[in-house]
Amino acid sequence: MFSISQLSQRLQQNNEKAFYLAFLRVAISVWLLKELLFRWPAFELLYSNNSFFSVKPGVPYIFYGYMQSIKEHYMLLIWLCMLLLVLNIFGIGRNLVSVLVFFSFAILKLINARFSNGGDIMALLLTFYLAGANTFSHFTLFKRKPLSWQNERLYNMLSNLLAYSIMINLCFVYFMSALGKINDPLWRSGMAIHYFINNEHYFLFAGNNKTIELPKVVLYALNYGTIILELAAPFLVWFRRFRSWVLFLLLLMHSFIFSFFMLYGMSVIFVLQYGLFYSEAELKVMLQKVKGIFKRGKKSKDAL
Amino acid sequence: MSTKDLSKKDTLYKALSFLLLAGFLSYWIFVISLVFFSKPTRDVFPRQSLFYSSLFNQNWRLFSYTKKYSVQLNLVLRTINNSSTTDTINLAGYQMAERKKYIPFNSYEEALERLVHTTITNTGKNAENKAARLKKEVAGKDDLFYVEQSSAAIEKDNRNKDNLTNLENYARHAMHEMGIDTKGKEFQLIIFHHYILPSTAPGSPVFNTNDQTIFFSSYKPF
Repeated sequence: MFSISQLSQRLQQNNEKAFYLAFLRVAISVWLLKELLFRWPAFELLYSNNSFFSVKPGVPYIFYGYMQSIKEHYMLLIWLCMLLLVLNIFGIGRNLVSVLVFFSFAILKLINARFSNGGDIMALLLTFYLAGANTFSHFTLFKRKPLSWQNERLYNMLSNLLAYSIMINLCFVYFMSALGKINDPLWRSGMAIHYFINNEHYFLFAGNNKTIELPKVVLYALNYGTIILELAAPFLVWFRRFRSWVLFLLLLMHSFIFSFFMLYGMSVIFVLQYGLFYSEAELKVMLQKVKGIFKRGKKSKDAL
Repeated sequence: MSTKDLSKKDTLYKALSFLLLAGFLSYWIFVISLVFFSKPTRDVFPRQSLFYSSLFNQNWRLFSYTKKYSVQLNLVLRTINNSSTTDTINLAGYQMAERKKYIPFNSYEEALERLVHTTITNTGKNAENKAARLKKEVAGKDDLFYVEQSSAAIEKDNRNKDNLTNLENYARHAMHEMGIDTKGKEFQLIIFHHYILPSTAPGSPVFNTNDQTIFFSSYKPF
């Protein structure tokens, strides 16, 4: 019979996703650092009070005045974000730095809420969940000293709950997206993809007054296939039997979005989270296989 | 440490672990309620809901809203006090072409395109809502009447001031980037929907394929 006490005990035993949480901390930090560097030429436009395109901070009530002051010194905030990200990559400052990473990016988002896309919001959510988790068992400059036995158990529990939150959140996103599509008449009619690939705002090759035509069967397959995948994935991904297939199909979908729909951050951030659905042991086996492939490749090169 | 102290500590840790579990459950109940039962949740937790939504909009759609049109912005250029010759430039198309150049390595143009697109869409939506309300109040007029009236109302309304100022500033910036001489000239901004041709596949629904004007501003000097 289900018992909360048993569940609590199980969650405290060990940090079930220790390796992947550590990988995620590094990967998200590197990604955000890359985003900041790539967006450098756009900072004045996005954040400065002197920008010709003025956007008011997207904060309600008490913070508004503070946000205006931060906008006056937006470059300080950018430098702070970069410093914190570098520290976070090496695991310096542990959870304190991770929490500060979340706060600094939250402020950056709030001073220009209009600019954020799905990838930015998901990245912010990840920094939020990772801020409290133990992501420091791998990829750190300095080895972590374990806490007292009972504190370590609580830390394990918090890390596991946050890891599950990331997974639930990802499933929630796909499920919400599927519901939205079911509510849309053009998705229901099977023609939505036609309109997206002919809208120059979304599709890389749209425009120039040309209509892109796909065979009807392809349109229907892509249209209804997307809905079925997004509707089923949040449930099937929890079963080992379907997990890899579902994640592979989602990866295909995101590869298509990445390649043709000009949404680079969103696809990368979403796909990065897929590893959390595998256990530590499964990830180690996968890593060994990948290493084996590289070793075989190296050996055959040496033999030549 | 005595047995009594140990048992007290155990109880404390047990309580803390239940607190963590309760926090986890409360968080997810709050998030799901905020999405599916937005109004009551916002009524019960107004500050928390507002703060959470301003950070993480969990109302995910991922291409769920399909539009049968693309939202466009035209700039009409003419010499001041001489309305006989005009020149029309598609600013949305220009900015999209700039964005697609060297993508994904031109973050400035990408950022500008996203800001311009959001602003055009928001202004267009406001104008459409205004026109729809007008249609209910004053029925039986032609479409141009409602567009004229709603455009004038949008320009007067202070809530749209930032959006319109941003679009005007962008128009000046784009003219400068294109190297178009604007001396002694004035401009008008037109937001319109460019309808996408439906798929020729048999059985597909047929939609209007014309351009539909949603909003036009009064003429402004550069």
